[in-house]
Amino acid sequence: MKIVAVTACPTGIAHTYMAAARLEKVAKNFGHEIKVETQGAMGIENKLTESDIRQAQIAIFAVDIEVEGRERFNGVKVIQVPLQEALKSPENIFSKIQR
Amino acid sequence: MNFSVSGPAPGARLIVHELETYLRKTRIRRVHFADGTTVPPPLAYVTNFPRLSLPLAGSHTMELAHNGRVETIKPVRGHAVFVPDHAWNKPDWSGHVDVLTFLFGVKQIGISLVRHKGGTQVPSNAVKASVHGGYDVPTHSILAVLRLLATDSPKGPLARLLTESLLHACLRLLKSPHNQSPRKAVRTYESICLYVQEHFHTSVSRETIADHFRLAPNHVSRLFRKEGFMRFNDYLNLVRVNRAKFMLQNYKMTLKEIAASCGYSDPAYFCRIFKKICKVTPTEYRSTNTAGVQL
Repeated sequence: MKIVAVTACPTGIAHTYMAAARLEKVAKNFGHEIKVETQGAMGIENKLTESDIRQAQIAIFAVDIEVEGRERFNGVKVIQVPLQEALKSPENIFSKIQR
Repeated sequence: MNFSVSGPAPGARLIVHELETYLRKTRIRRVHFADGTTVPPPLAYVTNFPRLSLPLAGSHTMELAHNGRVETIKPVRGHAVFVPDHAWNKPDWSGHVDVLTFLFGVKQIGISLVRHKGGTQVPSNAVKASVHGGYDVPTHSILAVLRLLATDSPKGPLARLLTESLLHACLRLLKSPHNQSPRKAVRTYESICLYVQEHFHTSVSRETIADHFRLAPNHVSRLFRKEGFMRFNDYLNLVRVNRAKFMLQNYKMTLKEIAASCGYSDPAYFCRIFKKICKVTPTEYRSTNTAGVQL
């Protein structure tokens, strides 16, 4: 499955980047293709392009604050989870998707 | 070199103001170093880039690993906490604290200003700004020394003076005018050069560099051809051979050892490249340049 994701935490210091790494790793284990945009103190990195979003079957928002540029995801199925879930039990997010 | 500051402009202005005021009024008295010598607890902050946190007012207790033990510290204004890549710290946000955190990424420096009244476990928001184009040479070099220091818990004033210098270097980057920023290609090329200078002793290659900077290998080649007027491999060999020249002159090591510490696993190949660049063999270079010097 093609998946896009956004991670963002209030301070933008560490959890944003840690969650992105976890999602990338676990998605691979589930056999998914994923691209994760981080919205932290370093600005928006690994930015999702229009075509990334168009091609994705689902978008995961692992965020504790507003997603910047949320309108980009209009028309895409979005599941939003607290950022901590992506850190503590990212497997659950992907099993939810598969159901 | 100049860089552009992004993020909502008022955010960047506020951060510049806070940092400027801090540096005018405050001297760094103490630097805490974290390391990765114990297993990070759940939700501890671990990143693949170094971070520096600087309390401006109030304080938050923080756990961190140091020399194989977990320590709890309570940094206040005048203290700084340096967390190298892959080390961990775990701040507690239950008290009132204003804190500025610097994130030293590969391509950019991110800064987060948290003003937290306490009460909740996690602050509700932060002001963020980032300097794109990574580093200028001073920032990069100061950071590199600080990372080295972090591994042997330094005594004396070096750590706090370097931390102050790093903050001044960051402030200068933040204030450099936006419109004179060099082209992205130049900035990427310069970042790669700095990376090569730091990692030449490992097995870096065009492919590992491309992977690290998230670029296509061909794009790395193109950058070096266009911005550096040489091939990537020629640049890498130049950096390695320069280091080898220094080692031949100053250290009593075998050619095999020197080759290995400059990133060449095959000493014969090292000698061939050395001869090609310097027109003499490493042994000849050593004997002509260490004449009369006792090794």
